[in-house]
Amino acid sequence: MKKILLVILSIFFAFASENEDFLQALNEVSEIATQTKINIDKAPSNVDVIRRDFIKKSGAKTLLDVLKYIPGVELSMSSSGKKELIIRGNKSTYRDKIKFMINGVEVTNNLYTNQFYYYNFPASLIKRVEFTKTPDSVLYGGNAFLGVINIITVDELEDDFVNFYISNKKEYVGSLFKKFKNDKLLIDAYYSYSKPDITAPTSYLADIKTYTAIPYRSGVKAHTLEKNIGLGVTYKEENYNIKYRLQFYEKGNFFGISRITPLKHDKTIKLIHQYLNYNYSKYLQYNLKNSFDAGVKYYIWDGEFRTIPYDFNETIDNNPDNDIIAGAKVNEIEYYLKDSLRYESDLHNIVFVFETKYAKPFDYYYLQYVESMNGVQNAVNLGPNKKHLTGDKNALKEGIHRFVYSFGAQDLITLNDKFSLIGGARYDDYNDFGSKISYKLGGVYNFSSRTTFKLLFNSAYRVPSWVELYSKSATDFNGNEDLKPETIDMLEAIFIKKITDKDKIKLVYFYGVNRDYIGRKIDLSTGKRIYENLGDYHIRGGEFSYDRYDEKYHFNFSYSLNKNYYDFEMNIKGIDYYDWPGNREHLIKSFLNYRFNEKCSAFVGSVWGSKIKTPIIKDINPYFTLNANVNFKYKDYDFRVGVDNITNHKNYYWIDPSDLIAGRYFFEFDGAKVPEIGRKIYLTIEKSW
Amino acid sequence: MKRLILFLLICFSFLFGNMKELLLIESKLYPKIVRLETSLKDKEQITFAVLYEESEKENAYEMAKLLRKQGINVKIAPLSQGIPNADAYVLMAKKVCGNTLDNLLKKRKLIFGVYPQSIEYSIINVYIGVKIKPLINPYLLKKAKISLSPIIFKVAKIYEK
Repeated sequence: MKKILLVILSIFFAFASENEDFLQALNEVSEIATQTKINIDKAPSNVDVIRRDFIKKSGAKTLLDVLKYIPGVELSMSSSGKKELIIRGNKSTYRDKIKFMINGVEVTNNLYTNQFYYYNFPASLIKRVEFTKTPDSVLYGGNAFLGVINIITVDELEDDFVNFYISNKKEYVGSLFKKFKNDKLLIDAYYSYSKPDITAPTSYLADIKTYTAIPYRSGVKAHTLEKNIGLGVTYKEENYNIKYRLQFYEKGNFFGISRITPLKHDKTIKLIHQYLNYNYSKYLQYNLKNSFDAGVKYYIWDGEFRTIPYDFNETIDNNPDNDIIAGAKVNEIEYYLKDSLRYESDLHNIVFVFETKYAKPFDYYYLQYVESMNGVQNAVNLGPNKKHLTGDKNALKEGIHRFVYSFGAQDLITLNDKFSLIGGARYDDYNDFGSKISYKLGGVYNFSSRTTFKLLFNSAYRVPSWVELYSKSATDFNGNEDLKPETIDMLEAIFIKKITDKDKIKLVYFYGVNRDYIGRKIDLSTGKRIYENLGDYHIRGGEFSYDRYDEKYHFNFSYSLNKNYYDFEMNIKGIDYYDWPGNREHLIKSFLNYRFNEKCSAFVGSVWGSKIKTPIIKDINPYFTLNANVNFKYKDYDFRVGVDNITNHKNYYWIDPSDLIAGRYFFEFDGAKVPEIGRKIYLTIEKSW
Repeated sequence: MKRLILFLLICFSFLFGNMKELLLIESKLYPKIVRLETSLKDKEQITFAVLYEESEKENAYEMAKLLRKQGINVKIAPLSQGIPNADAYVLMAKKVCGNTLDNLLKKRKLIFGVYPQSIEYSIINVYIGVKIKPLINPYLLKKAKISLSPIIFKVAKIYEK
């Protein structure tokens, strides 16, 4: 009898175990579908996913090239060559106000809440880009303000490869990916170099007291050097993984930080970002999964800029040794712990998030010197012979740190196949300015098999960076310790219609209010632009996209409109450039990816942007680029030959004026713009095995 | 018919770059489903046969690689070269001719489809909504005379012609 009972019990437990295995597997694969966004049309979120197939076919060299066909995304650049992302018409100098992640690890720094050192990340190493323009502080915390970008690098599902890229604009990239130890150890690495020849426009010296402007420097070759080195190492076991990533970026001064292109190209900035992340994930029950992350990030900003000649005497001696050279070195360290608990049932998918982090700058100093003045210390030669300036003269207030703890929850409720709802809230506490509560609400309704409607509301925030709070340098960066976090309330309505089996349209309407907008306001007594909470900024517009999928091709057309406006006034009415958001209101993009056969395909894409409205001077001309490439395979080799900007259209980026000098002067380029690289011919070779 | 269209539409985008994710999902799910087959004796040593049409050879080998990572024995064969013995079959084909399907059903083993279009020729496929669910073709299940643990019917979607 005992034996019979034992057999029955063992059968029962065996079945129970199989059932739980099966249910757990369902949860796991649902998680994969969510993570890889393959069910995105049905889920309550608004994410653009760019997959490896498209990335390869588009001929993209860098991450930014990958993003250029996304509706509502505009690429730009600052005077000093910092690449910028303008999302839904939001141009924020130096700070793109987004959360930027590599394989789920945030790489945005605390120093200036930016991440442009990652914008040249090679497209060849990207498996997928997830780009949401929806603010989402509930899941991602502060800085998931105008959106979240998550770069997923190539993984064990991809073949090993080496990739080389070369263009006629002095651009070279080499990258490789290799798997070891039965695909448990993954390594990717790359090196890139770029130094295209671009001639800077004439700089003008303007005087706001006499309303005059005189040519100051013309026809100078821009300092366009960019070097990148990257290394990524991932080790994966069943329940844990360790990820390390290094990103090095060295950049020339381009057109000059003060809107005067340097005569001598000997100063660069070097940025190094590294992270080490340990993740442990385990199913506690078949429907309950815990995921724990611990990590450290280390960021270094180290560089110098040539600014202006100390005596304004440029036209007489043309001596670069008279330039005021400004620079700094800042080390930043951050430690963090994160835990998420996910419960999944037929009805619910609940995520609880707990996070804490501690960050501080250390060993930092400011540099300001004039080479021709040698050891004489004065107001411009503040630290003769590259003396490290600390204490009151440091670029950043000393003794600062940031401690944050957060907790939140989100529930995705699947009421039935037609209707799902999402809701969530999160509490974040910062030692430097108190607490913030973020929340979200949303729903998806499938009217029919072909028609989906989504309505999403998100309330998020962005923390002021240390530069915005504590900087006090002479050039462009003046902090304000009274700054509050800026917040955003964003409503999005999304309509997806599959017209036929092959045709899909997507319409998005959005309206958001950015409260306590952090921008720079001119202090008329000092001429400095100081960070302040300026008021409300309204973000409104729409996006339309059409996709046609065929066995042979994929065609896409998109149009986006941004009618943003500032609801605050600056103190020099008429000159105040804050009346002009600096973006292109209309963007039209399209591409055709055509497959001739298994071995040969072609890609043609175009981007058009309307003119940029500017104050006083002539508007910046519309942007246009037509790009094409042909791709063919031979054995394990993949060749691509392409041309970007085929028509060699003269494209420009809008550059705002420099800070006021001596309370009355500023520098600006002719037409308040700097040129883009122009037509480019490139070749890519990839060998996989 | 309506459900079929719905399913095809939902899965349509898979054909454009999502193939690897789809294969990953199926490779993780299908072995767990096989273990729910009540007549299967040895649930530890399972052998899958991946049957493919010639144009899908690359994907078939990718699927085999992923299944092996799950500890599954895998045989790979073109559809044109007969049907090897296995505990379950993965069909890497958009369409299967009537004879082949009949021969497969005679094996009385589970037939998993990879492509959404192949649900008419397979017993189980995946449904991609907010959540992933097995999609069961009850006609072929009955025809193959296979019985599954009741748990799967609690969570699955049932395909209707």
